[in-house]
Amino acid sequence: MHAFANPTRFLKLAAVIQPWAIGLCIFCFAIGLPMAVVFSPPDYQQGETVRIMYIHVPSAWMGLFAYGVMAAGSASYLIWRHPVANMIAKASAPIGAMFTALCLLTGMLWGEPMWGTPWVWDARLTSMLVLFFLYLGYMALGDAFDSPEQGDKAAAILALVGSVNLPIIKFSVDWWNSLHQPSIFSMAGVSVDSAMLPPLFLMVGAFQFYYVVVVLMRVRAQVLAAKVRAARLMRAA
Amino acid sequence: MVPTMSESKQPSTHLDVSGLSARRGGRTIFEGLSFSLINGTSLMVTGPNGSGKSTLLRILAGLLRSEAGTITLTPEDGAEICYAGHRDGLKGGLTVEENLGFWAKLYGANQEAVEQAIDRMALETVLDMPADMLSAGWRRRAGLARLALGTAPIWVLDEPYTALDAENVVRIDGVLNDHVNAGGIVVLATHQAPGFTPSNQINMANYPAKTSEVDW
Amino acid sequence: MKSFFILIGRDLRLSIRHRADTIMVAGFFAITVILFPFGIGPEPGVLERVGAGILWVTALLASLLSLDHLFSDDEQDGALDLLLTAPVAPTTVVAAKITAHWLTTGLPLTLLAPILGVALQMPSESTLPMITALLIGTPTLSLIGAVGAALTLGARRRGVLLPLVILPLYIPILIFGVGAIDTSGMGFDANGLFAVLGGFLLMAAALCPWAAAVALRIATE
Repeated sequence: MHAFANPTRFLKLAAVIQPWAIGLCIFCFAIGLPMAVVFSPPDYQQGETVRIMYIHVPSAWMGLFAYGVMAAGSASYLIWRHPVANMIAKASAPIGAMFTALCLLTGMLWGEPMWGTPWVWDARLTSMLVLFFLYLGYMALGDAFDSPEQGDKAAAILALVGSVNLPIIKFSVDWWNSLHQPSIFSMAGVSVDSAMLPPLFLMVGAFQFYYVVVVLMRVRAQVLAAKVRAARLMRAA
Repeated sequence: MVPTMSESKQPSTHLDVSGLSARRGGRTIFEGLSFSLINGTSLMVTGPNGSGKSTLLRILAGLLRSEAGTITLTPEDGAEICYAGHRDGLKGGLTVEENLGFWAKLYGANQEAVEQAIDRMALETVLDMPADMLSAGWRRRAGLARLALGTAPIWVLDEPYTALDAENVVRIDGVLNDHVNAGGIVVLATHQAPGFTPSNQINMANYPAKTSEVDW
Repeated sequence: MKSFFILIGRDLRLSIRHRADTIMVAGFFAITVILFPFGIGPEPGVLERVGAGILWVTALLASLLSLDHLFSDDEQDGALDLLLTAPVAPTTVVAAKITAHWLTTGLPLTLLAPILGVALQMPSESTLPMITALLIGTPTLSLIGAVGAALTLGARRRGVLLPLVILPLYIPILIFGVGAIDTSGMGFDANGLFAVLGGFLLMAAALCPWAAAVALRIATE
């Protein structure tokens, strides 16, 4: 871990991983997407709409996963001052927010035929909505300072505060949901046929590798931007 | 002056700084700074704008982290630092007396110390005035009166003479000189030569960054 | 501990001098609550049903208003630097400022809420639960809010940023605060919900002053 704190060394490692991640991402999509959309069986209750699950569930997972990476990166940035950890955290935020938004959007598309309305205050969807706002807060805070370092540190603390709060929010929303709306149908309640599992795992893999590819690209861009900034400061001094 | 101080002061107070360097806004502004002060001495920090005078003082006060180097205070529990920055920290809504009273209570100073501080800075006439009605010079004096309330042996002052007229520059000089003579340590950053001779001087321009910025 | 009360005393004295701030927050709370009957119609059944929610949401917004200058006043006149270098733990400084903030915003709002509850035609049985819920819940708002105020200190467009950072973290208190009032209003036992609110308060009291102090350190760097 400490060995990769050095940005240059990290970039070398990234250059090795990158082509593999791209290859695996394409592979998973190429096999998983046709399986999910065409070859997997329709649900006996929901029919063809169940195919939204192959996007919805991996998005939800990635939304949470990216937040976990963000919190872990922020913690190691605050404790050990690892510049790369902070860059990974910063790079994860927009991707995580995008996946969370995708999860909400597919949830609404799925809800339309299931509930007859695009939005129901389902406990899981509501928690994802709050998660989306936590991402927005993190990104807005990080960009709001004249000194980039101050923004990084403030946002890192917010990521940790958010990660402490996330389980509390989840617990609260679950309780609130059970009080107001005894769930008739929850998205978690889909009985997953064993034939649905291979395409689902492939889609999760595809999303995961996509995330790795984009995070590495963003970290690389950040390292280069930091070098440009440092060079400019040198000239100004 | 400041009798509370000499009682609480340890026989030998040291402030040792070695190999200090600082970064601000992504670049190193000074590097390899070392000095050592013992009780009864003072240090004047000079240097052009942006050379890191304020940064050094804020690091000494514990408000900023240094990039490298060590600051050692001896004895560990008695060698406290009292910091006075560019801004006085006076609350505009409170009177001068209330402002000083707050710091006195927080520092655990007695009424006698408060009266002496008021007397020393000649603040009697403005005691019941809200601080936001004071002119800059009066505010400065009221702000610096706080130093005399604490028991910290080390005073760190950033441009204490700003906004003061000649008479009050002499007044501050006297207070600082007395503090040093009573066995305290004074570190001050200033453009203006003080009326007393500081025992040590540092020019920040002599400690420029040496290492390359793009280290990775 | 002594310095804790000295610091509270200073902030309270300051807020008495600037009492317009407290009055404005209470005024905002009252006028915003009064807007709802105009917006959703004065039918007793409807207002009674949503009253607790209106009070809590408005209390969240009102407490947010005053957070803006919780630390920024001290930051601007340099007092924050002096407080952080004084022989007092930064967490004590933060805890004292949070307590003073609650005494000048959360407490007045709690006292004002029963009167506004009448305007919202809430049942008289829910008056005591309302006061209790706000009494336990509003300190948590001040605690969490202080972290946000410290994190956004020195940020651009702070007025917009602060709600974005803080409001998502307020959601659990909103849920259980409203739940406690509604459950007791319907004649059920709500002790468990008050206990959850109390648990939130204890957790926030343990973590928030520390987090806010760390954030202040970063802000003054």
